[in-house]
Amino acid sequence: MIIFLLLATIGKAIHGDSDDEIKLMRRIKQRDADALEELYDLYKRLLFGMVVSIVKKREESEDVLQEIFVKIWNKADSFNEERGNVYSWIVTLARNKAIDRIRSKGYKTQQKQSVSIHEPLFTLETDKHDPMETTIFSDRAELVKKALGEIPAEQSEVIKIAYYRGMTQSEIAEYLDIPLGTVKTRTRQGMIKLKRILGEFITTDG
Amino acid sequence: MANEKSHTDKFEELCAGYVLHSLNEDERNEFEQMLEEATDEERQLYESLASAANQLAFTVEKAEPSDEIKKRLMAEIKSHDDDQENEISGSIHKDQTSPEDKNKGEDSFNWQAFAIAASFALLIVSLSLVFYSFNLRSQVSHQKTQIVRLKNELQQKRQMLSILGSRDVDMVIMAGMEVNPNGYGKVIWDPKKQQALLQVSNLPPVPKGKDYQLWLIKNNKPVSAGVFATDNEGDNFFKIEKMAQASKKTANAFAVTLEPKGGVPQPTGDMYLMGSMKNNSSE
Repeated sequence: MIIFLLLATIGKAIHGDSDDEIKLMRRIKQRDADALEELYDLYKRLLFGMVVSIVKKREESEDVLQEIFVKIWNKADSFNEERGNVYSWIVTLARNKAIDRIRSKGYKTQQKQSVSIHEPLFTLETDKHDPMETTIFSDRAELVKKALGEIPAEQSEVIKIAYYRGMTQSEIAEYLDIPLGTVKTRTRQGMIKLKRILGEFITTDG
Repeated sequence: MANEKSHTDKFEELCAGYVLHSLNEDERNEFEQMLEEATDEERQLYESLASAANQLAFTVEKAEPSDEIKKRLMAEIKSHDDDQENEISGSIHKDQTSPEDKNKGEDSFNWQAFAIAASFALLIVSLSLVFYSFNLRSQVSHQKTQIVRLKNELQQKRQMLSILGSRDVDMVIMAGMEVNPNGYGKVIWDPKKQQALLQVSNLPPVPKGKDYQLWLIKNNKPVSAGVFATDNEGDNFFKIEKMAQASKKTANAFAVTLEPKGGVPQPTGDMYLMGSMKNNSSE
């Protein structure tokens, strides 16, 4: 119980930090290239890790990373700070880009045979890069890992495969050799639980 | 009810897959349709599931992209903005960046170099203007003297023509003599006004210190009628203002001799031209 209280406190503190990110977004909306550079430094490792886990190839992942930030620059006006936080907006945008890339026709035929499945590593970030990045992101990583640990393994498995590798539910069914309906049910149950547990940590995250 | 999913179950199921981007295209479209018609409660569920899914990104193993990407990104953004500035007008970013860009431009402008360059340019322009004006001035003075010369010449010709226009003129044709057989000349003479017009051709240019002298042979005695000099280009018409007093009857002939400069009272040199009065000889 004590650990939950502690985590909740950290969560609230983290949420407060996104004010800085909102300021960055406002500057980006005003075409401040320095602000984009700051945002890039803050997010590059998180987003690049995410893109690499989905796209696999490093060179191609770097192209996607670049596309992501160009899109952030060009679509900054569509970010509504009343409706969501910066992190969610950027991560959603980045994942869409990465998944668009692997689901494009050319990419599918090229990658089909080379998909190797490995468990994503849940290591805590120890490198000291951007202090802001390190603190915020590794604290949050701890929260999410804890939450995933509380979900039944068969449910968290489909969620992880879907999220970290960008597989569709049909692909997951084929890969795990289970019915599609089972994948859907496990996904649904797992996500509802994850939402509930994370909601206990961070109450107002958009 | 056991086999058929409730609307809420269906919504939840699609929603969970949707936030993980793991639906196929048909399912995705179906869910987006449902979301449009969703109740507030359903919408809230969607938002919290989407947030939960987004939290998963934190647990991704982070990776370091190469430094090159940042450079490429910033360069691309710059080129994007340059394009947009050309295309779009009146957008927020234009309003805010253009004065800044302007300031940057002013800061980087080297006024000192500009001033030096400008003074050099000015100096060159001034020098060429001075040179040009000198040129013009000399041209003008040259043309002025030309005009004076032409006026004088015209005056002379008018006077010569006025001699031709007189009622009583006589013309004496002179032929070349031994020293210069190719030479010839004419004297158009108005005895009353004591004026004459002399024309000579093919006379050699006068040597230094010499002049040609025209003589009126009056009562078989030569009387000086003036000196003249020819040159190579030879304006070889001369007006004789004060011809010696003589009448058609007393005058016998005209002759041209080469004499010391300024002329002499009596002819001493070689005779170049000579012509006799026709009416005299006929009479």
